[in-house]
Amino acid sequence: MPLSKTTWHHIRRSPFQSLVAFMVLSVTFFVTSLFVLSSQGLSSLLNDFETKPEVTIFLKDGLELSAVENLQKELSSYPSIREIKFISKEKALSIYQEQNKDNPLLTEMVTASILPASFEVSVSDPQILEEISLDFSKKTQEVDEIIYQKDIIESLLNWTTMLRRVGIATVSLFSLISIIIIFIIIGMKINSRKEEIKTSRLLGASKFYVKKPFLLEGFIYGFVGGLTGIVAALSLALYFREPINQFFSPVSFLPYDNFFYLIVLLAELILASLIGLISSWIGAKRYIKF
Amino acid sequence: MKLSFQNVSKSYGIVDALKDISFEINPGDFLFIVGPSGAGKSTILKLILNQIKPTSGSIIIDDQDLSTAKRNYIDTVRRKIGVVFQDYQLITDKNIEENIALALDIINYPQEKIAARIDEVIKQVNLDSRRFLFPSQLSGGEMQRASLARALAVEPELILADEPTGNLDPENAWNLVKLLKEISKDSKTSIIMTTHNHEIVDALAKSVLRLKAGKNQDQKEVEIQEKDDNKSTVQEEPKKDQEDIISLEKDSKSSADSPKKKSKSKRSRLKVKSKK
Repeated sequence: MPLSKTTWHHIRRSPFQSLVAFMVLSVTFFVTSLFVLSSQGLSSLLNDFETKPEVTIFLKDGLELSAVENLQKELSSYPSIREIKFISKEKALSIYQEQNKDNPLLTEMVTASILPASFEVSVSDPQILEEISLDFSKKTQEVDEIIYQKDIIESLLNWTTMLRRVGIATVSLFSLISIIIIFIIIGMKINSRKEEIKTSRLLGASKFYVKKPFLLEGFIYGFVGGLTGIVAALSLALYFREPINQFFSPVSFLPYDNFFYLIVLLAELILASLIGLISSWIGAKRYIKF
Repeated sequence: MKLSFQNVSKSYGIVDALKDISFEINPGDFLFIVGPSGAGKSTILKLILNQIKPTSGSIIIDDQDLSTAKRNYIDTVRRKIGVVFQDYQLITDKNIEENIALALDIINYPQEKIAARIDEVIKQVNLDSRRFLFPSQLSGGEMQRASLARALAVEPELILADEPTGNLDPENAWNLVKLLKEISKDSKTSIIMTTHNHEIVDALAKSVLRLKAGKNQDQKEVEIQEKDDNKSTVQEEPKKDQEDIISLEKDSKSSADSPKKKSKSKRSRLKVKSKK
């Protein structure tokens, strides 16, 4: 009897045990996929914040051009500076007008003279932000106010780190449970087929020959169970991608590049198949001793 | 397959299942092992299959001592042996065809030839109509024949038949024995058969290893000639008695004296020895 037929026979003969194995792997990889997607979304959010000016230094009115240039030079001397953007009073007005174009009353009342000029500074290392903020807050002659998005970034960083940690812990726990359950199920199946295995061994079957159907069975549980869970999670993500991305606009919380989903699917599928294969291998090694 | 037992003993605690057994068989030999229950008949078969290890002595198959053989060699030897188990050992959730196919798959029999080989052996044991039935749907005798079909399918070099006639009616018992005899003659397959059935042993006049309470009873070297095959028919009532067996256990020298016996003795290479 071909190997695949033997394995299918094993699966069909104890459908409920097989169903449990499929389900536990489906749930594991459904959860794993959700964590992968959330982690990717939070990374996108964090990247977006990192590309925005993270410190805005508002200047006092009536500063000489040389004083402004000196401030800019000083800012440039900090490491990890990605961009320094000078917003003049006129530019500030045009931004203000653009933001409030639907409310002519507000735009009419504001002139360039009442808006401060400012520097928008973005960095690649969040540690520098605090240093800049502290140093420039001492320059009371030139600097009017400093707006520093420290809290938002710190909180986002914390969330991302926490989500990753919880994700890794949860996925590890689910994977461990999957391995144990498949190990137990394969063990039960081996025990129920003990006589058949013994007879096959007496007929000259090698140990690998009698293990093969169980290894394939574990692999199938991993592959099919994993595929079900991953496809379910990715389908949900694709279905709700638009409303989710609108909520996080302008950030694309869920990528529009479908290649990303293909990579997630393949990587998780390999992991799921390995979990099935390894757990059945442990089970076969533990229980086939004759 | 050349098989040799050299002073083999097997004990289970203080109980001696076998003590100082020595014998040797060559391709085409047919050996009956007879003795009461508990005498160690099945133990000999288990030792050959390396299911159990001897307490002392050596079992040599094709010049390789099983006690020092690697696992792969044991598997290879087992693939050359067809076994008719006393308790059939058919796989319960496979039908007869699948049971035979499993044995063929284990020996890597060409996939495209498996169906034809199954047809052949199923006809040989007269189980055509039971081919797709499961063991639970067969009688004891049919299971025994199915077990024989599985053993024959692999074209073994040695057949171990553990009480194969135990559950058969006289007609099927004789058919089975006749079949085994033909196989040993035509294909040079060696056969070791344990049995309680003295009629068969007496009628076939093959080599006999008598066991009693775990000891080899045969005390002298024996050279045994075969009986004329044509006399073994389905209807045959065994006519040979214990005297015939004794006459077969003459030493080889006396056999060689007769030209007729000498020519037949070429086919009789079995030697059963004892230490005493």
